[in-house]
Amino acid sequence: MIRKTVPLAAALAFATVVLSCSDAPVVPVQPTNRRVLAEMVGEAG
Amino acid sequence: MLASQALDSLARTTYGDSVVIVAWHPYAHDAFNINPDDSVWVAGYQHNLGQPSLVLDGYLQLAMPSEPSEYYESFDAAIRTVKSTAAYVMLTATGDADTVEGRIVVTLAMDSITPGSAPTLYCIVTEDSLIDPLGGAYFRVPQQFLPDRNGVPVNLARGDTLVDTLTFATAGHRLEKLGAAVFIEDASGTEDHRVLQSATISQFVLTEDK
Repeated sequence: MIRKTVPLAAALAFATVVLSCSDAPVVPVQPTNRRVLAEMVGEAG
Repeated sequence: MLASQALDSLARTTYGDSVVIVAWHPYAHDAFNINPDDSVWVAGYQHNLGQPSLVLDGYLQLAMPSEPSEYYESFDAAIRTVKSTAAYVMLTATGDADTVEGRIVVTLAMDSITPGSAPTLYCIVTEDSLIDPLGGAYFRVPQQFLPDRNGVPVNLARGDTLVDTLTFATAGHRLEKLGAAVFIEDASGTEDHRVLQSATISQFVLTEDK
């Protein structure tokens, strides 16, 4: 009985590892360089 | 013209194309109020500011210094404040023009669209080196919105890229003086029409008539 439980535990651990790897990786999104819109209003020409 | 000179100087010496400038002339006596319908509408949209005024990214209305000598430092500090906000929108614009038509190609990608927001693409054709009767030169003067001042609603999923071409008639314009300001703004009204990202065309590539 002891001999059988050890491989089972190992199999469960392996399955857990496989399942966790199947999740989509989290990729941090880097902000891009902000370009500022500057609206000057009203100087007469 | 001191305020616009300070802004131009900052763009030239410090920020380069990181600052996209549009110089509105909404007042009736102004010789460069070329498109009064739109310019007056913009002035109202920006809460009818005094003269001169500076609005950054559609929401930060600068308290103008009483002394023109303080414009430069004041503008510099305000631009740095707005620029420090992270931008999760990639936006580029290129343009070419001939004696019949100008074409602006806009490329846009976004990290994600915040629920409740309404990202909208705006494009303004501008013209440089307009000279007033006293010899003063004015730059980046708006000529027209493309396709109009209501803009184009943007809807795309993360990872997608949008490529759009906007065209306009070039008759009556000095092609070598034309430019454009392109920007994405949240037009939902929930964040005071905040600009998410901007791009500029400082000069169009001139081509043969197509």
